[in-house]
Amino acid sequence: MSRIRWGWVLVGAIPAIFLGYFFVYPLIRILGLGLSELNIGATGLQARLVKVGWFTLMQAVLSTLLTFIAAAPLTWAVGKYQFKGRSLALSLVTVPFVLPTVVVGTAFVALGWRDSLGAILAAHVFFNVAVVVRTVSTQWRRLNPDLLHAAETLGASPAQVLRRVTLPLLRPSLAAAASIVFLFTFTSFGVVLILGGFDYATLEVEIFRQAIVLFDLPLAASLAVMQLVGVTGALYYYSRYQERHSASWELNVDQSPPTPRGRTRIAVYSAVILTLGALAVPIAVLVVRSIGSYRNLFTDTLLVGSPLDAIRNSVVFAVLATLIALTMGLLAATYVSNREGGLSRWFDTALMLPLGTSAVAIGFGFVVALGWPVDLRASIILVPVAHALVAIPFVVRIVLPTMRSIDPDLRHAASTLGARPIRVWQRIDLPLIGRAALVAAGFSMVISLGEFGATAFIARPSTSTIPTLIFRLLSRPGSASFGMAMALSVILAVLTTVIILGIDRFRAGEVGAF
Amino acid sequence: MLEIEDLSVTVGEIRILEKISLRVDDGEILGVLGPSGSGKSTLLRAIAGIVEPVAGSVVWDGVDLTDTPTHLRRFGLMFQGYALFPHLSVGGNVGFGVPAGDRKSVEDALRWVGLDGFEGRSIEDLSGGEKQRVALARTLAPRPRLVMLDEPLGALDRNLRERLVVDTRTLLRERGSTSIIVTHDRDEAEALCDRLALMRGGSIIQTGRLDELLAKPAEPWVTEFLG
Repeated sequence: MSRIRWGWVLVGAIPAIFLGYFFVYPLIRILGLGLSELNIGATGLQARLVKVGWFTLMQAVLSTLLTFIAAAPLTWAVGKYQFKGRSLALSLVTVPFVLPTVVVGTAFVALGWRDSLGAILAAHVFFNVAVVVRTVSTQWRRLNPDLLHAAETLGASPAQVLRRVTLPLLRPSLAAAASIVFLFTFTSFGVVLILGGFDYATLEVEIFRQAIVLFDLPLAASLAVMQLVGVTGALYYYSRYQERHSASWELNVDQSPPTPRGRTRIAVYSAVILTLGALAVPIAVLVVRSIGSYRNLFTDTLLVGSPLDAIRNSVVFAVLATLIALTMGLLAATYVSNREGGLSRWFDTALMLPLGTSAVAIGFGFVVALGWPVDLRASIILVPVAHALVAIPFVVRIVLPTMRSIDPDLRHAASTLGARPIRVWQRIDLPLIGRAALVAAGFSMVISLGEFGATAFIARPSTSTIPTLIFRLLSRPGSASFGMAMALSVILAVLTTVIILGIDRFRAGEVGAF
Repeated sequence: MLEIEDLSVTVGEIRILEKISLRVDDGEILGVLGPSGSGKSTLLRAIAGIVEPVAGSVVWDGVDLTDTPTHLRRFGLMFQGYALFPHLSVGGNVGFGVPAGDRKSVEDALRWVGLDGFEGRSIEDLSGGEKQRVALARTLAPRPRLVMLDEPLGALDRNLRERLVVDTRTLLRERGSTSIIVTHDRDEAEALCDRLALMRGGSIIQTGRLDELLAKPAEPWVTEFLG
């Protein structure tokens, strides 16, 4: 008697087909190309693959280590203590993390660091300090202080307490932060492309060079396969680790963290000021050096495209990408939260896949695969579609918890009162997830505005976005071009920050689950 | 008149309802009485079309509604936890099932439950008893052809229950609603209903008036349960 509910089939099928055609199918084509058409015996090829693979891994490990060292003092301060300005410090340390990669790259070029491993590592640390500070300090705050007091009464010195109790207890969050930073730096593209020059290339950068500059698609595809293997491995380790360590220790329920006094107080504030001060330097230099170049944005006609056009393109693409990501993400989340069974769970997992895939692979996949059944490769719709793919996992993760928290009886009640399924969604689901949907829209916008990896593959000069134009300007000699790159970076940073602040206000006002 | 024939519901491997057959005449109030976990709520949900049966039929006045979607059945259901819409006011909740602009139906329904003038109030500000009455008003406002109440007084304290039992009965009687009331409380069932159906383990054990059940119990459990 079980009838097929065509409405639900449609709700699930639309995002499934979208992801299938724009994400899964291109990846399969890359795999096919990378594994079949590669002549692995070609001269010097193996050496090249090994060199790039080794550098990618090495810089990711180094970046992760250095990020932990740089983040340690601030993590300790905000994790262990309660002090005035603590939440402000947490907000400020997050600013570099939300900046688009091309902005970070430009800021380090403005510092005069370029074409060196040091510049790449410094930029990675700058970008990722917030990941460690936020992830680890959150768990630190939840530790039961009595465990630490117990160690003290047993005669442990503060250093011993840290080494023998605190750090072991923090292992889940340390591992989580390490995996995330490793993943980000392993797949780093914009920063390495801008700061690495020709000497240093990660897999991502090499894929880009081989595909776009040298037109060696099979080699690029092989690199992409290597890259996917690395990323999948890191994600697998991360999820396994999370599974094994998800059992939580006794949680701190009611004790608030201590307020630092005396010398500790000085140490806490030094940690805050020095860390935030160091993070502020690249941004400050970028802003100061950009002054004087803004007028050129309006007057200069460039060979690489007009800055005003790029700004307009970026905004239009961001709006389109947000609409697509929100539509697909909401449909998918509606399906997953309303339907039970294996298919729904499988879909839920599949929705996260674009998160683990690099943007470069997405852009490259478009170039390789989307000539069939109609040639979409020249279509401008590809740019917002690529941005939407990157944003969909975020939309789903933001909206799904709220959707799941809606009592199904609210929907049932609406049905018994005569509301059609579409009306139920419109009058119950939509108003209840409205706030979460707005936050998701903001995130999609920020992602689209700053997206560089995929866009670099598919944007034409006529469809330049702010990030791709910044990259082109940086590649050209001359201080005028560089000035404009800095000015555009500041504009992009301001746009991003304004949206993030807007999201934060919505989040602060959120009353939690209904 | 509602006729249910051999209605069975399974969730996964577990059978929740086993070949339930029931009849409710026009204007009759049927009480479904049984211990918790006996499938009473599932029965109401299956009648409303929220839960899909694996076998059997739900028929109203000779028309088979088994494959009719919930929103077209015109069966009202008051949920155990009330399921009031948190983002809508009292008026928004009660008016949900009536055509937009039909303020009279909303006012009438609120008057029936003694909450005149509550339209603008927020759901969060209501007491437990007020929520119960808003949920009842919301169920009655669209004038459903069948009224189903799932543990309508279950969550309330005793004083309130005693008062609301009387109110609810008067209301259903005055309107002549064909009704099914699910409860696990014998006294409540006795006070509200014309006839009782005793449920246990997903099956109906016996139906009849309370005095009939006590006089001729189908099995010893009936007497034991009715105490």
